[in-house]
Amino acid sequence: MTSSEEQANLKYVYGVVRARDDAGVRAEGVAGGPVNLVSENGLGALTSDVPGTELRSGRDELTTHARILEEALEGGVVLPMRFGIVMEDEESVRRDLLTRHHDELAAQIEELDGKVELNVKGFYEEDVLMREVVESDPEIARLRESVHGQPEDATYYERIRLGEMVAEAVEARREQDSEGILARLSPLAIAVDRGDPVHERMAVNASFLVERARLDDFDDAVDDLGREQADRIRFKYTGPLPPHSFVDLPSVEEQ
Amino acid sequence: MSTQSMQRRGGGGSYVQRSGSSGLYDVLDLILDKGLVIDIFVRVSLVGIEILTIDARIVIASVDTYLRFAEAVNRLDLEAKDDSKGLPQLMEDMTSGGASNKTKGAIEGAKDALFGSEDEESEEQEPQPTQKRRRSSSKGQTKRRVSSRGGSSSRSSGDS
Amino acid sequence: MGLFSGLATLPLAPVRGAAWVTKQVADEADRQLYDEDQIRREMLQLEIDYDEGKINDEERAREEDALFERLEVARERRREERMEAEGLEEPFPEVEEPR
Repeated sequence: MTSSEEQANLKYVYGVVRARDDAGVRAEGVAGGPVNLVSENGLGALTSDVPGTELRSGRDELTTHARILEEALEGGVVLPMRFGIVMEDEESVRRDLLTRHHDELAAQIEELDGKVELNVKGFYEEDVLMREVVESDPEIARLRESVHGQPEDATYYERIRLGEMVAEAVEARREQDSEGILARLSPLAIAVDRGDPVHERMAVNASFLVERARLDDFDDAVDDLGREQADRIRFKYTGPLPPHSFVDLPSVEEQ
Repeated sequence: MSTQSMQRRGGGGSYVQRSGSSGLYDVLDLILDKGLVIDIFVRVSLVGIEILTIDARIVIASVDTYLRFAEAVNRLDLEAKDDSKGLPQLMEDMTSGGASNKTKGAIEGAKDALFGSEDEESEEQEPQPTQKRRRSSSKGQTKRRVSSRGGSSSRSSGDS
Repeated sequence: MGLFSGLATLPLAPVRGAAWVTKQVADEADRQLYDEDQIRREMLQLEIDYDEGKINDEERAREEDALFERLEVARERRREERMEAEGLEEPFPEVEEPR
């Protein structure tokens, strides 16, 4: 490995699988080229070559990483790496990833075998939500009354106050709805990872680790929720996905 | 890979939108914030790759958000029951148009941030944060370890 | 622009002057524009709009491209800030010798 940064080929790592005959991924890597398997002691790392200069985290690279892992999942359990893990060469992949972290990786391979990640997001129908909020809170209704039809300039701060109260009411509803939805779905899952309520119309945002054998049940439960809440919440259901949210490696610094 | 529908048994219309593949928002969430991280890297210049340290970023509910909510309740016609069809007008302001719309909103927010408002909770220079968002990494406080026996500290286990 | 013409009529003019204010406002606007959480939120909003039929494939793709450009800038900036804050010359610390 030369010290110059010309055409040195580094190894971009997508994830870890059980050692197998080949990577089993047709898609091309983040810098083009095939996805290979580097094996050591029962484990395999999915890798592709990247030039030793610069790797962008642009749209193509990001989606390629995600799609490669989705494809890998079709061949069996895969532990997804975060985006941007680049190692010096095959030897480093074997030594510094597969050997150094062998026990942790092998344990997670076992734990996550036959399990997939499912993401459930719910979005409020805004008109319905606003109506609920106004009808259930007299103070909000009152403030709305006083602001309604008035020129915007004159009521700037009142409208901020009104909006703030509405935001609080929405937050309370979100908490309640999230709890309810999670209570319905969690019993069918092995683990749950709650996401941040990153959008103001979000009613729920969670990822579930579910056994493949229970996928139908989980599907049905989500369907039931969708039907029951059809007039107020729109559900978005994604999966099966590799278990990004449920893998972990302790770092040296944590110990 | 385009959007694939999940296999579904039983027929009938589904109330739930399904996809077998993650959308861009999820891609960002899944592969930038989650997944395995190891502490040995190559000294490659990775454009746009952040240094992996603990980072708490705060979700700021800006003045814009409040004004949008205010407009949303104002729009309600409380006399007649309104069938909710599609998004209200204000949603367009949030999305379409490129930088100019966002900058406008940001400037108004900034103006408020600098000169304060008459709300009791007037801050220093920042808009009022309403939510703390913990961006946990593998090096962070929250271990995402799956525990098949007993509970795991960072999440609730269901009955399996 | 309404914002700037309005400054002169404010009862309490900032001590540091209008130029400083302009810079602060611009900085704040800039910061929000290149805030990664904000960018991701907009990414999600695009998805919502598309799912709810407000925008079509073409517009969605166009807006997504714009967002990705902002995202790269945002991440690059944060990386530089982090490097500066921690006094690092390179983005990553020394490669560790495995024991």
